[in-house]
Amino acid sequence: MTSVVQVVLRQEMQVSLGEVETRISSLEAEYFARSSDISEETAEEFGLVAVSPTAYVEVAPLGDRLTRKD
Amino acid sequence: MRDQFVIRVRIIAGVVIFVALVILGRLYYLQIMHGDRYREMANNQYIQSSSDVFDRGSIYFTEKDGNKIASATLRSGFLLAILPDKIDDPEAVYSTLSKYIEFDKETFLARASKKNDPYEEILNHIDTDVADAIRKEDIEGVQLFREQWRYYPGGSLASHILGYVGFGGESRFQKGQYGLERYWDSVLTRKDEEMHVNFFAEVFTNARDFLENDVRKREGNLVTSVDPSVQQALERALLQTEDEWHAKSIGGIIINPKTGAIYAMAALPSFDPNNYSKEEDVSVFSNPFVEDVYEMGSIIKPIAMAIGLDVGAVTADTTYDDTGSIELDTYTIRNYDGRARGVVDMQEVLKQSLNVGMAFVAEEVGGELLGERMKEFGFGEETGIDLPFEAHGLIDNLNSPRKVEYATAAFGQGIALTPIGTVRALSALGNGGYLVTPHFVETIEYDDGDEAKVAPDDRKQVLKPETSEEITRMLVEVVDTALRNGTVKKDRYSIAAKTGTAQIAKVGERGYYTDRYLHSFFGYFPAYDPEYLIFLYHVEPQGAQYASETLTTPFMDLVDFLINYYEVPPDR
Repeated sequence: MTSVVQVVLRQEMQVSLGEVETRISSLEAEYFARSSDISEETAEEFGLVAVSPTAYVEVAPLGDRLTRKD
Repeated sequence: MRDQFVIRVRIIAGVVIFVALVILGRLYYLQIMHGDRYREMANNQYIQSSSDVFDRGSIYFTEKDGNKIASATLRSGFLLAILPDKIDDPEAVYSTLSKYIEFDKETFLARASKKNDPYEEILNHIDTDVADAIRKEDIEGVQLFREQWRYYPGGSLASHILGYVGFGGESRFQKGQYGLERYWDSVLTRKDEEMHVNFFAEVFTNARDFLENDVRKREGNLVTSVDPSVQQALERALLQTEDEWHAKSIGGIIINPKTGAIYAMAALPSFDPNNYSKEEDVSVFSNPFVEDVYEMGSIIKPIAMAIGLDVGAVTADTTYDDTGSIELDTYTIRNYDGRARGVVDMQEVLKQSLNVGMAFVAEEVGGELLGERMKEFGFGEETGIDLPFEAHGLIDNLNSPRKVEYATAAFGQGIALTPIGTVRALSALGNGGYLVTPHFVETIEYDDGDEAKVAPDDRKQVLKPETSEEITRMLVEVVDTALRNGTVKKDRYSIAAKTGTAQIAKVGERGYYTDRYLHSFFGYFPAYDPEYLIFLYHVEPQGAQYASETLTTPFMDLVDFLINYYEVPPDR
């Protein structure tokens, strides 16, 4: 009897699990679609701007001072 | 008293005989007169129910911060079927259904008219909302069954890595047909799937499991090293290159040369594994990185040069007199432009990609030794990558008694290699000199909660570490001063790279086409502690002869992307 109940419960849980997985997979598909649309043009539409030339800070060989390199 | 007893017995016997006759008659009606029909109905119900319980482990991509994104998962919905013998007016049924689903009218009417057919499937993968709406119409003879199926959220993204799941062979159940789906099928397949088809079988099997609960199931989900953002960037670069140069096929890979973990792999043309049945040409499912072999051309030069350095036959400063062409075993070997360079050193051989210089290296190393050392790079073997149908290279020329075969092998002609075998060998140039096993799956997450690291960690040393460093230095020099005349070098990043332009061998006859080329490009960075090796190739690009013209831009674009995405610090 317990086994019958377990099988029924499994089937019910499988249905609800399937619904949740479907929802997640839809969100993942949307994530993939949106991330593939990201470009410099779309970034600019959101108000983002290109980073100015990167400046690096390097630890000098002796480690006793910092040197700024443009 | 006795008479009454006899009468009662006769009445009971009569009833029993009557009931038996009724049952026999019914059985005759069901099994003899209409046996075929009911058998088919039962079979159809049985086959239908299997899609309800389709179950399979997931495959995950891994983002740089460790987040997992499912690239192959499950989706549920409904299958719409009809019972033709219960449909009186197929036109009206179609009219109602067509408000919710798209289906060819003529096909529907033809199926609905099969009055002897008790069950016809019309459409699957119907969303729950649509199924609910159809159910509310309460149409006689129309049924909806819950079903689950394999779903790839990224569509065609990484299709050659993932493969797909489908029916094949004589199995009633879906199996992995290509890619990781096939290679790792035994881990992804749920063994209980078959059992769940039958309710009573499941009940009894549950009881058995209760009694024998020490059975340990090796079923789980795969966690790969593939990063979806890197994969997208690679596929975008390949599409742009394809648009510009219209090659017959194109491929690319981004791999960690120190571990063999693959961040991205893509090839065009590709396919959508959600709709694989719509592909007309099945060859699109094959992964050219593991199933095809090519004569790779000049990107093999650094390997032969590294062997020359490793055995002490040459150094970067070793010179020779380049006459533009040489005769070997009655064959003439020429530089790509046929021009002589005079006295030049080995660094110049790589910078100008001189075939005559590589013939000199082969001569200095000695053919037999060069052949043996090149074999140690695994050219004639499978790499062990976790993809099915892997081929091995064609390297018979490395057993030749003549010099010319070794000279041509030293500049990548006369031996045909798989792209993945080439990538593994090239990785050894930068990683300290050892072969890695290219792979996708890092971890299996078992359903019982266990986790197993499965990434291979076997390392076969094929070069001395100091040789690896020296050939890397020479390849960095190639990028800094020779590639597009040094205009693409990065001041803050050391990048080791080499281009390759190979002639394509004629099929079924000797010789090479004079107007068909395979362009390839490999490079790794940060050069002296490389985390990323990029390999690109395309077959028969149009409008350009040399790989430096067609592949430098996508390579450098990918380098820029990786530097930004992984925030790679400068190394010089």
